[in-house]
Amino acid sequence: MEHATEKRKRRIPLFLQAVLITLGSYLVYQYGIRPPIPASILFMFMVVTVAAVLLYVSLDDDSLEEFLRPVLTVIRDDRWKIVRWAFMIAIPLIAGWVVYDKTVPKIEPPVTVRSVHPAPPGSINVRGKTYDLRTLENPLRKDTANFTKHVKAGADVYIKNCYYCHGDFLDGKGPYADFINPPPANFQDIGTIAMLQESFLFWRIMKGGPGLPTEGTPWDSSMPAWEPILSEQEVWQVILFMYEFTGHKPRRWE
Amino acid sequence: MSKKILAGGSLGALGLAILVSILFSTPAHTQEPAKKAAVDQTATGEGKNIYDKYCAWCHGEKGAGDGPGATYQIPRPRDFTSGAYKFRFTPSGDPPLDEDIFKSVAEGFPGTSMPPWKHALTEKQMWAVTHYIKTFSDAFKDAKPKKIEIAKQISPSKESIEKGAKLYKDSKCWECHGDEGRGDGPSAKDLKDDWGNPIRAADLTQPWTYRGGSTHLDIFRNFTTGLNGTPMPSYADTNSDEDRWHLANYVRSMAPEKDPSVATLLSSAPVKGPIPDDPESAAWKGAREGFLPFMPQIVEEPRHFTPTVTAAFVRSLYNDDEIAFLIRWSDPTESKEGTAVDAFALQFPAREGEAGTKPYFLNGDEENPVMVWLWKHGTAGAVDLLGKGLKATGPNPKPGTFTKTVASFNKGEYKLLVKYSIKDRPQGAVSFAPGGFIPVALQVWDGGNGEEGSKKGVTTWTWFTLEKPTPVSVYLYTVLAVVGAVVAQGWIVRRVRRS
Repeated sequence: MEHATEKRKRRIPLFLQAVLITLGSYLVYQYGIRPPIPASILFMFMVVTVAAVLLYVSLDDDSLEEFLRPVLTVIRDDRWKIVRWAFMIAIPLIAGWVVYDKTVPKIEPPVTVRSVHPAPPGSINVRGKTYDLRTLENPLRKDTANFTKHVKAGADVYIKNCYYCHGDFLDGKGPYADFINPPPANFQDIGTIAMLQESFLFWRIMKGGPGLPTEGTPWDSSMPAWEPILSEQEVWQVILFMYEFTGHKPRRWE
Repeated sequence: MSKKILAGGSLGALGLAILVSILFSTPAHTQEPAKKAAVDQTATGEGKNIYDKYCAWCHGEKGAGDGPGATYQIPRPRDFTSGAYKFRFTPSGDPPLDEDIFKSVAEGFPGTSMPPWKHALTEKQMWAVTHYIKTFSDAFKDAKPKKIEIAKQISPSKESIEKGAKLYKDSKCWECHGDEGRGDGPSAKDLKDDWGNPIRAADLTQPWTYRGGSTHLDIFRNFTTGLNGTPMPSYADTNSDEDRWHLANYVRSMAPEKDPSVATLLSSAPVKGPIPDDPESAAWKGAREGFLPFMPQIVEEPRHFTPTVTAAFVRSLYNDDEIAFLIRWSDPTESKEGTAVDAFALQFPAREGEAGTKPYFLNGDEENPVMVWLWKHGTAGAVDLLGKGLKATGPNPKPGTFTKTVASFNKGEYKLLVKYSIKDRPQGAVSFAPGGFIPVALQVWDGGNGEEGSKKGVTTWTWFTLEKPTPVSVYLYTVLAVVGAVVAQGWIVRRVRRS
């Protein structure tokens, strides 16, 4: 029995086994899981793994002894003097570094909670005209005879005003997009104009970031209010264009 | 390879699936099948459809570079009717290879309005549009563009860079690009391309704006082929292959290898004693530098679409009495007289707000005003303004005190140092307390580019903080940890060795 155990364990020494399992687990947690898990979860996983490994090696006295043997050899045997001193210097340094890293104040910008599609107001006032957003529809959709003309005019409005941030492909990757935080909206994404009504877009274009309610963190948005620059017709045209270009359909009242 | 499969797969058409399998099976000539397929498609108009939908806005329906968006851009969109292309692997004056056009479509041009279309179009679509673009010009008729030979690369050693520096002088590169490469040479003003459109000499210190790419090979290629249609000539006949590699090595050495990333947080480091006025002093050299790119002010009239200043680099130091900012930016011309002078502004909220609330980034509004520190070239020092909107910004009725303003312009670069007294700040103004977070935004005017008033470069808000000095307790805990570990392991080792 004793002999068999010895033979079995000689394949991979228990200490090396423990190190390999711990290291392997770390690599799996860090690189094997997609999307990556947060550092705090990884830390918890590692605590459980190390506990399990320690439990495994200390199941009986023999195995514990085998596990500790390399450690004790390094401590006792003067042939391992250099390794011993290397560990004795490295361990306090690592301890010091970990404590320093955990206690030194880190500077990170404050996080703002932001609602991406905040509820629109019931009505808005643009240059003295009141629009009821609950019933507002794009009037140009009724003008079927001139539909193509309106879309083309909308493209002109877009290229002269919007593409700088929202991009030629309407994917929020315009030439200045990288300089803006939060980033410009990606209209190709199904999470933006595809799930919104045209009246919502009308409100967001006319009133911009400054017109957002508090939960939309108004001044974080770099979206200008376009009411001083674009006419009502131009805004409806650019909305038509955005849907035509992306192939999305505006959400409608059920 | 995987990109091609992904791009192809997104179309989902059966024919494309076959194409993908061909692509997959012939790795040596991956682009050939797509190219051929695209030629067939051009006949049925796929290239035209893509062009009309995505490209015509800027390049125009007939490819003359005159789409509705064209006049809002410098550099202007390419006029395809001439067949003159800037970035090619063909000799000066020759039309480009198909691969050159394809690469331009796929990769776009950094620092311009041309985006990389590989994110939006499939490879097949990009080949189709490549072939369609060629139909705009007669230059491709019967033309068989020949690829230039690329001479063996010379590694960017110190000697090579030094040789390059001498060549930069002798070949008069500085006439347009400036002594230190900031596009500020004596001939840089009013450069025009072959169509008479304004064009600027590249700022060689900002490789992230190099249109044709910033690798050594990209730069070598430009020296070899010249940029057709622009004032940048080919140096293939005047400088040897080795010399052109030395030049490329020198040009690339004008900027750090790694492009800076946009700062999300600017920070100010604490100093004991007075803050030095000299930007070259150790304290300033050691301060963390944040990179912030500008976009033109395109919101309020008069709008501005063609800025020159692309970015600023910001550092900050503070002590108990003052806070100081040191900002540097490239500007090809020094303008300190007349109405349009070079200027710079730092913007903060006028009042100490709750965390997370910010004024409007374009000079605030009536409810949430901003404090604007404005420096104008040719004036005595920075002034404190109160902004309630772009058109409602004027002297601050309760101004703060600037204890020092030092500005210098040297070889296309401004350095501006502004010191503001924290001690003497007006009541209610931002307190600049260590540890707090304050929104900051920058604005810049290049007088030489006719920028004044609302015609300027702007940034949106970025967080700014004054770093707290590291508390003594941190060092105490660290020392305790080290000592604890030494004692504990000493005890264990002793015990083990005795047993």
